[in-house]
Amino acid sequence: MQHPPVNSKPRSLGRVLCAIFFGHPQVIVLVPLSIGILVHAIVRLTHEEPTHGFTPAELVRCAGVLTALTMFAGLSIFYLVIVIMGILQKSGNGNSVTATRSTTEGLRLDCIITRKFLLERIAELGKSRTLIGPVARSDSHGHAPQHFYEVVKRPDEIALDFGYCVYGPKGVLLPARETLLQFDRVDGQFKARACIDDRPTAIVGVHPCDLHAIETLDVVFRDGPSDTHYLTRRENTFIVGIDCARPCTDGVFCGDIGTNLAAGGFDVMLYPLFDVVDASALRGFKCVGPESNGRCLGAMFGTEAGRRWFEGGPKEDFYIPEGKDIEIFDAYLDQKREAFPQEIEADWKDVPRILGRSYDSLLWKATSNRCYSCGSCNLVCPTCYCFDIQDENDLPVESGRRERTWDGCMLREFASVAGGHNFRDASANRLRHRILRKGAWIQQQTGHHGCVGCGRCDRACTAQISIKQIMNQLAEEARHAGN
Amino acid sequence: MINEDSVLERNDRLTSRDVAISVKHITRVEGHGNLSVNVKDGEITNLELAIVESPRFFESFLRGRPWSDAPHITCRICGICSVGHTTASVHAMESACGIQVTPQTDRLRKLILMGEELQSHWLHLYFLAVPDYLGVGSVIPLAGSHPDVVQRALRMKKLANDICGVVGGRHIHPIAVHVGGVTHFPKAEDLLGLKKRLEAAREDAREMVELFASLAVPHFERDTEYLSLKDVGGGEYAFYDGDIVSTKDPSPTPVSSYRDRVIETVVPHSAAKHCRTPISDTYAVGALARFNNNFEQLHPKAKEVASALGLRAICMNPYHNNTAQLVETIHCMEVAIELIDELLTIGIRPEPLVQPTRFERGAGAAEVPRGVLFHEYGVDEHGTIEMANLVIPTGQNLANIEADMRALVPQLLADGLDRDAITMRLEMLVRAYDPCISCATHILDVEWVD
Amino acid sequence: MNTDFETSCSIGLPDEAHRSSVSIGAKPRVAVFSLTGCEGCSLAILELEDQLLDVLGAIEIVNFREAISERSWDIDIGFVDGAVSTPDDVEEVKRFREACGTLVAIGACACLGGINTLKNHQPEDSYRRYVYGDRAKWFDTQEAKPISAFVKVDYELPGCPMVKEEFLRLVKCLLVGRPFRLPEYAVCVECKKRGNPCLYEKGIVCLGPITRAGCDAICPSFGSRCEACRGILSAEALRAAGLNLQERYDIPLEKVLSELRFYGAYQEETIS
Repeated sequence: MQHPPVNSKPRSLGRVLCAIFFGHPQVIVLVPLSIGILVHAIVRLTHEEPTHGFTPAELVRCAGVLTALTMFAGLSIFYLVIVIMGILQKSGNGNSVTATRSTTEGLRLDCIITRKFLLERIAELGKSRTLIGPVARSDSHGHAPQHFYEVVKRPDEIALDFGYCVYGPKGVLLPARETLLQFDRVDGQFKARACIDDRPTAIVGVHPCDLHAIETLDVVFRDGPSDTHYLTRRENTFIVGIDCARPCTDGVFCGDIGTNLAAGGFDVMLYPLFDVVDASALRGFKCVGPESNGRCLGAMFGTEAGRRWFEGGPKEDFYIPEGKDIEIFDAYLDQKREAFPQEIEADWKDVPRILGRSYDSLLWKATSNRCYSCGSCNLVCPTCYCFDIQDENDLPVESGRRERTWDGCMLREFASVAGGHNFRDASANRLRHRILRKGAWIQQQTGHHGCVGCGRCDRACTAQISIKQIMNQLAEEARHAGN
Repeated sequence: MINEDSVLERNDRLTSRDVAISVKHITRVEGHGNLSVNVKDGEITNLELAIVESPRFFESFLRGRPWSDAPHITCRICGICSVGHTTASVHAMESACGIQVTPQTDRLRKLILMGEELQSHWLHLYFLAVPDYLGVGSVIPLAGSHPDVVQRALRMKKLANDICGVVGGRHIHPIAVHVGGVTHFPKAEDLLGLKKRLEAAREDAREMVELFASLAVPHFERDTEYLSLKDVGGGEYAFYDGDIVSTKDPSPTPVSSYRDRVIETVVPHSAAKHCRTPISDTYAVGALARFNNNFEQLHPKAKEVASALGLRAICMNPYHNNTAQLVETIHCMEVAIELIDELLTIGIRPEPLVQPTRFERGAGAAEVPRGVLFHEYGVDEHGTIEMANLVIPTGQNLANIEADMRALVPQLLADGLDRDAITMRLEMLVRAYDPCISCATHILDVEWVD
Repeated sequence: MNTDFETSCSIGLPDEAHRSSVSIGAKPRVAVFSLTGCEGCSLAILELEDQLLDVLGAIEIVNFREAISERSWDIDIGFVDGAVSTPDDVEEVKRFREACGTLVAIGACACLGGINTLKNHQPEDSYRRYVYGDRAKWFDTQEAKPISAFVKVDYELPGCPMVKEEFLRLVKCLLVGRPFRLPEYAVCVECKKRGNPCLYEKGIVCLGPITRAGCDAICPSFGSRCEACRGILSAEALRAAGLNLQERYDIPLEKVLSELRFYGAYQEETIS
């Protein structure tokens, strides 16, 4: 389902010159050095009268001059060749894009854009797709507004600077309720029609944790028996990620898992670089400067479709970073790394092993006493994908629908089977089951994260049961057991 | 309209001067009411509209609940007028708690009240009253004989319900209307959708007026005091609030002094209290009372319909309460459209609920479909309700219905109608008042007439 | 993708030709009765506007005081709203039971006793006298109870008012002979599915976590807390409420139970 990553693309002359001077820092050292030596040699040769032949010192100076001349000529020819090749390969029109230096874990800074550019592009996206993005919602109880993914009409309704969305974007790809098929009895025979939703949609503003969660869902619904309803919706969904420079709220542990960075799962990923890093070092782009911080965003393309989306935008608000600009990206990533404190008191890689040994822990019973079994943790989880299917008749009853709806393993009836047996009747067993799935089993089954550390279940729990606390307690139990 | 349960005491000597009628549980009214009439030698020996609905004790179980519970408890008095109860309740509690709500809150509350007036009037006219005029037992046979009428009725009723749904979450026991404001803020596109449907419904309403213009409303008049709210200062046709006026005493009385205008008494045959005013033993509230007192404030389109239907203030034929209801639906549709326009122009934004500034005693009122409704609460310093009184429109009308029947029966006898026809005419009279008997069965703070 | 399926989808009823090709047995004879209550649940049936004609096409209403004049006592399915709160109500509900093949309690009053049960927590003499003064003895009353306290009830559709969509679902299940079950999970499930902000998370004592779902979380969806009108889901959830509300909100259990009494959801004898 993922499109291949974008390869290097041809460049225009101006951009090539920029690339030479800003993309290769050695030029900045070597060219002035060569010029300096040459000037020095010429000055010496013209101001000192030759008296009697060449002294050894003069020979050395001549050698220096020759060397400098050769280096200068050589370098000039070398860069001239690159320039000519660049001109020969020059592409036609539109914003073209280069894959600049690869940095941390497959992340790249492909371009820098203004917010104006982004809004224009989102508006363009909205012409062919239903736009969905984080929107702040106030209530009548005087609480601070919270963000939710909602369908928007105008790009400026989307709050890209949102902290977190109460629910992940899962519901766009796997709706809480959907009709899978309609049936009808005609002449004593049933006929079914699949209800496939292939409306083009775009989610603008997805944080890395949720991008990881979407990758997990993709694997679940693609591998094994593939789920046409999910996959059709997924294929028709354009995803614009937005990176978080710092934890969106207290208690999230995406930094421990590494899901606070995403190298895929999006069409375009946006980086709020200049919210964090001083942009005064960046040159060549009118919107970047100390007084215009925050008005620009970095971006990485995840798919060809993402690249094409930006190519159609106004050129004056689009800029390909080169050379030292990349350091800004590195600085951003460095600062980001420091901004996410360690929340889990164990290496995340050890969590499956710790959980594997926790089966008989007393913690499950002690914690689940408070549990309402309301399923809130499941229902807000961006990786929970369990569902229930029911048939519903119409009136007259000959026709009807088969409907799928979210289910949750914390609900009492989840593991009930025909005959009345419930495999996980006690809430302690349900809690253990959920935590083990999140921390170990989904990862083992799919190769992708079962938990992305978004903290939604902890916030949603009506009994203040925390997956993070459970993992930390189990880690401590494991340490004691190890001693 | 003879029901299986109607106990028609066979009397071999029955003449037009001797009639015994007993109808247990009058149908197509909300709640349980029994009607009994005995006529001997042309004289009424007994005439009772007995309210046999189980007593509900709402005033009692409000006591001890927090102030904020009042609208959510009292709206459960009645499924049909729960928005009306909610409106009167928040008015009374806001008066007791010193709360002044925002203009946006007032507009949203007015809109949901319009939705309920429309829902209740249309339900009553189409489902409960029209079958009488078309000679069928209910709306169900009409689905076969008059499918267009039924489909139109359902379409219009659904529109009215949806107005309540968009603003308050649902019509029966609305959710979002609270003391101090509202907890839901409708989306502009939902309001716009309602507006378009309201505009389209003008055609339905026109056809409805045509249908009613063709029905023969029985002739009967009795000198009656009609009491309602009136927007004395402003130009609104009073539904949402106003002062108390009547056709016989047009001087306005503020709602806080409602006991000066409305006097409640308990009678043995009725779980609902009867009411009188200082100048009349019985009086009427409801659509006709509002029409009689507030004709000038009606929307011009409603005035047109009134004159087309031959309804003029002051009308004293209780059967014309149905006509007045129809005129009001035209008014309510136009007012709802205007309210939506105002809300859309100003823009809806979330507002926090306004909190109490004091706890004391306060009264509030609203014109609900069946007439003026008063709520009064006393709240102690902790915000706990310690006193409640509710004066229900149907309770106010009961004595007047009986008085109407006392005047009507001799007329009908003189006209030579048989017992079945008389029963039918009396049931139609009861239904014309659109009584809501569940509502009426709670009472308090009675002034005893011993 | 399974190519046997058409990929388009239009939601709607089958056309006329399809309907007529199916034969159904005789229409069930249906009655709607009211005891002590606001009759909002009966009214809710009339508020099924979009489906009302289809409902009337599938069943025959033979006794419904609020809507029709005809009355019959030969009844297949009887729906009852309202609680039992007077000696008359007791006799009535027994009569309904005898007359109806299937008896369905609709609404919080019929299923739980409903808001009427608030008076159960006051001394009888006090509430009668408060409302009717020294004429109190004129009016019979007794402790308000759900109809299941007096007769066997086949199905319950709780809620204040009942959820009309659930009524429709039960009618369809009865028509096709499929089992009907109430949701065995909390209001939170539907609230989350609707994507609502959590009122409980914001510090409002919302009773969603302990209340049976099926209402599509309509109150939280309109900004108001759940008041448990569909009854308590399980003893387990009630125990959790005792622990959590005291700890989190410093609300003693007695206060929690007082909140739960709003619709009679909490009754000592019904919680095991």
